[in-house]
Parts: sequence; C-alpha cells; structure tokens
Amino acid sequence: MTTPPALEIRGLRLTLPGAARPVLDGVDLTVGPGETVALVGESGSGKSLTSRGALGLLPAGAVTEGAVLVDGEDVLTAPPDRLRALRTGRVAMVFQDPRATLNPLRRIGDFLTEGARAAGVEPAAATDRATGLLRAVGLDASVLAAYPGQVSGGMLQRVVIAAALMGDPVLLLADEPTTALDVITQAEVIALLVRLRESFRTGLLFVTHDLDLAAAVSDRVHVMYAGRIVESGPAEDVFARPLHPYTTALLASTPRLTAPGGRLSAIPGRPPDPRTPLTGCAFAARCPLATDTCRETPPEARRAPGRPDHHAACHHSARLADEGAVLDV
Amino acid sequence: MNPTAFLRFTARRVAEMAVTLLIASFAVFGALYLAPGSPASFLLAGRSPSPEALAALTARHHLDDPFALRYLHWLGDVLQGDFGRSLTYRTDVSRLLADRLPTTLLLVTMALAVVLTAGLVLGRIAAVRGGRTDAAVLVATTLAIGTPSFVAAVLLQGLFAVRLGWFPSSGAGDGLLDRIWHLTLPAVALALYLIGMLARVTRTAMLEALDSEHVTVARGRGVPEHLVIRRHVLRNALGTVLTTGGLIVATLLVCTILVETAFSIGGIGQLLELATTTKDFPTVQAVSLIIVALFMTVNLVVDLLLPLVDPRITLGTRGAAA
Repeated sequence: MTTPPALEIRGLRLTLPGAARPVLDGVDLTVGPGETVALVGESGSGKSLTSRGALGLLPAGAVTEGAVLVDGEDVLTAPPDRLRALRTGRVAMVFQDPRATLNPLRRIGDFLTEGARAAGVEPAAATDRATGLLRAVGLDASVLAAYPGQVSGGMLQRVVIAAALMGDPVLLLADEPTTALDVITQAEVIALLVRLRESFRTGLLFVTHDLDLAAAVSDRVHVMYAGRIVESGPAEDVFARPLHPYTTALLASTPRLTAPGGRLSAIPGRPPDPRTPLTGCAFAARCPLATDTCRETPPEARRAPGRPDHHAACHHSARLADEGAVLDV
Repeated sequence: MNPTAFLRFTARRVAEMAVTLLIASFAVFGALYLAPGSPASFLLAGRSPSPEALAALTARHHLDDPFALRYLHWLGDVLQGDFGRSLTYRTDVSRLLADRLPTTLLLVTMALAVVLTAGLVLGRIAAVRGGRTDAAVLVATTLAIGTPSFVAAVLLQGLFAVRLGWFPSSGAGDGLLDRIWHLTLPAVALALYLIGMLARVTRTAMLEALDSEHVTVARGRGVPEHLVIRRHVLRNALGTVLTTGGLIVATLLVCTILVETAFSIGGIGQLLELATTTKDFPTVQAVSLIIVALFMTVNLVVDLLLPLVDPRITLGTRGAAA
C-alpha cells in the first residue's frame, strides 16, 4: 500500500453567502509526504482560505464542493470528533501573527500542551514532549511558565512552530508565518522551518506572497489568482519560465537591486471584486495579452509541452513559452 | 506576583482609603449640618422646653461649639469606635450597627451570589448559542434592567409570599437557615436588575473574545469546543466581569435601602431610611460612613484580583483588561 499524499485538494469550490461567485473555484493541489509546496498570490486571492480549508476551518456559512484529503481522510466530510483527532495529530498550522495565535492570558506551556492533552496524552508526558520540541526550535524550558506578553515575537513564532509539531503531523500548514516578524527573525524562522521539515519528514504547505521565499524553500509552486490556481509546477520552472501572464507580472513586481531602470512595475488594476460574477479569465482585465477569447471563455489548466508537471490556465501560454519570460507589462 | 509589590500596593491603597474616608466623613458630617433647622429643634420635635432643658441639650450635643470643633470632636469619637447615641433609638449607634450589619451583609452576599451565577450563565448562553436563545435572553434582561428593585420587591412579595406562600413576606428570621429562607425573596429582588446588567456585560465581553484569532487557532488545534469556550472565551471575558463587580456591589449596597424597607428587614439599609426620615444625625452619619468604607473595600479587592485574572496587568499600573 502506498503512502497517501499529506494533502490532496481536488476541485475545491467554496461559496460564501452574499458572494456572486465562489471565493475558491476548483482548486487542485497536492502536497506529497515530506514535500514542500508554496502557494503564492496577492492578498485576497484565496491562499489563506485554501490552507485553512485543509484544517477544516471554514468561514461561517461557507458551502463547499470537492474534497480536501489530509493523509487520505476528507476533512470536509469528517465528523467533529474525527476532525478534532486529525487536528491534534496529523495536521497542524503555523499562523501569520504569533501574538494573535496565543491566548495572552494563558501560559506558553498551556498553549504547547493543550492539543496533546485534548487528545488524551498525560500532562507530564505532554510537558516532556513540549520541552523536547522547544529545544528543537532553539528555546529552553523556562518559556513554559512565561506568558506570551513576556517574550519576543520571534520566540513566540518558534513556540507556535514547536506547538505545531506536538502531534507529529504529516502535514504542516504555514500561513505567511513570517509576515509579522522583522527581517532577521524571518530568516531564522524560515531556516528553522526548513530544518524541521527535513528532520521530521513533514509535508509543508507554505502560503506566502513573497516569491523569493517561495522559490527558496519549495519543491513546487502554485500561483493563485481570484480563487483559482492559475499556474503550478516545479519551483524552478515556474519562476524561470512562467507560463501565465499573472506569474510574469508578479515576478516583475518583486523588488530587486538589479532591476533595470530601478523602477518596480506594479500590476495595473486590482483583483476582481468577489461580489461580481466572472466570465472568462479572472486576470483578463489586467492582462496585457488579453483578447476577446480571454474575456469570454475561462481557460482550462493545460500541461506545458515538454514539462509534464508544469500547468498553466491561460489561453496564451504557448506565446509565453515561445517568447520566454520577456513580456512588457 | 511578587509579594513585596503586593504589600506595598496594598499599603498604599489602604492609606488612600483612609484619606478618602476622612473626606467622606467631612462631607457626611457637613451635609447634615447644612440641613435646614437646628438639630435642637429636631431633638425636641416640636415641644417647647424650659430654658434649662434646652441649655442641657445644647451642652450635651456640643451645639454651641463652632462647626470645625464639633466635627473634630465627632471624628475623635468615631475613631475610637464611638458613633454617638441614636436620637431615635436611644441606644449607642455602634450597638445598632452590630445588630444590623450582619443581616445586610448576608443579604448582599446572597444577592451577589445570585447575580454572579445567573448573570454569567445567561451571558454565556446568549453569547455561545446566539440566534433565538440570544434574543430571548436579550428580552429577559431588558425586562430585568427596566424593573426597579422596589417594584421587583413588591411583585415578588405578591406572588411568592402572599399568593403562593412559599416564602415569608417580611422580617429577617433567626438562625442561619431561617435567615436565608427569609432573605431569599429580598435577595432576588435586589439581584434582578444586576443579573440583567451582568448578563449583558458577559455576553458582550464573550462575543469580543470569540472573535479573537487565538480562539480560531484553538479550534484549529483540535481543542474541544467546551474547553475553547471555558479557557479562551469565558476566561478572557473575566477581566471585564470582575471590573463590573465593583459596580455591582455598589449598586447592591444602595438598593438594599429600598429592598430592606420593602421587606421590613432590620438591616443597615432600613436603619438608614428610618434614621434619615427621623433626622437621627449620628445614625445617618455612621451608616453612610460604613457604606462608603464597604464600597472602597470591594474596589480594593477587585484591584488586587485583576492581576490574577490578567497577567498583563501589574499592580500599581492602571492597564485596561482585554
């Protein structure tokens, strides 16, 4: 019997009350055992919603279609106690802001052991495991008795990472885990995540808007726009030879010291309003390549010729492939 | 919490309390001095005495002394535990207080227990269940808040004492159990308004706490919902509830005057009411001072408890609870 993927999302469609179109529209995404997958896109593209969906944490009133399998088990249909067991064990999340993640009124030790104790682990054993994991993230047991307000943000994010590893998860979800931290601490936390992923053989879904970071840590990348995966593939392919104009535009708007002319190119316009229905490609209104076809027919994800694992949902992928990454936006 | 900081804070607050009590004593004494009519005419209650009797009375109560001297004289006595003699009851005021204070304290404690239990439970149910339950609690608390305690007293008396006969309609009873039985209706009458208030405060504080990211995180970590509510929602609402606690006790102390009168309970509330209508100066002064002292003690206790509920608050800083 083969090991199931750590995470397999198949055709996830999520509709919120009051929205004219699904906020997630047919998301397909797989994280193999021990693999790191980055999910990149602008704010509001649905990245966080997708990663929270993998925990079964959905906004109130959300209607879903499709399947979200964590270690082979569907979190969308799991009964509450199965879902709870899954959350204390096989899947865990590192959230964006460590200050908001911990209850400021409870000790750090309580936070670390809370899930394990809920799963029936003896308090003493849970504390032992917490102490060991604190050491693994470079902290000592003295923080167990401290309150969140007494330690720095970087230390807190290490605590959150240690807490995420408490149940020995097969899947770790990291939702912009460094956005709330300063640059030095960011680098430390990323290095820590990469090291732990290797020593614990955990599948990692890394949600970020930082393309360089995604390129540095991930095996594969998914680019998301307006609730759809517009491009996916091995990190080096996607970043070196993008097949979707949105990926190209994102890459062009990343600050670089070597950027010609020293100017950043912003993507004109803004992502489509979720209250308006979409016909055709979601990116058409902002895309320099857009034609009437783009505005009328939504593009299907297609495999790039000669690159079996590289997919893009664009009517003009072929043109991009021919011209390389040269595109004036 | 570090013990020397605790002691230093408590000592400072007790000193502040002493100063506040001194100012309050001056206000209490001065207010009655400013009341129309001379104390002697109240004492004589319309009789026309012989000049000798009037002189004796004036001398006994130091009525010829200047105001400041009379205040200091009274204050000196009070500091020695002597509140003077009641003009109405013809006994020492301290005796009256010793007889009546326990009844009032029992009544207020019972009412406080009812307020805390019912208020927290209703607030929690409204916040957690939402929907129709929330709406029903909202209607009930609106009714409770809109009913003054003396109206509640009359209604409860009419229903449970007169019609159903489950509880006595007046008096304070003898022995602890009998007292509790006698004080149940008054305690509920006293509690009703505050239950409504506390339920609303709890509901709002819990809804705010429910919105926090750490509550979502706790759910996402597989913590069972009842523990999420207890440890991350109710726990975080407690600071607000505790702060309201001071206000609740203050309101209880004031409303006990009305409720004790309505139920003919011989506590200090009824004493204050009777003493005020009969211009019994020494008694009014003593009871007022006691109520001020009780109120300040409760606030001190709340301030000492807050750092236990919220580690972000340290003694001596007036940080806001979340």
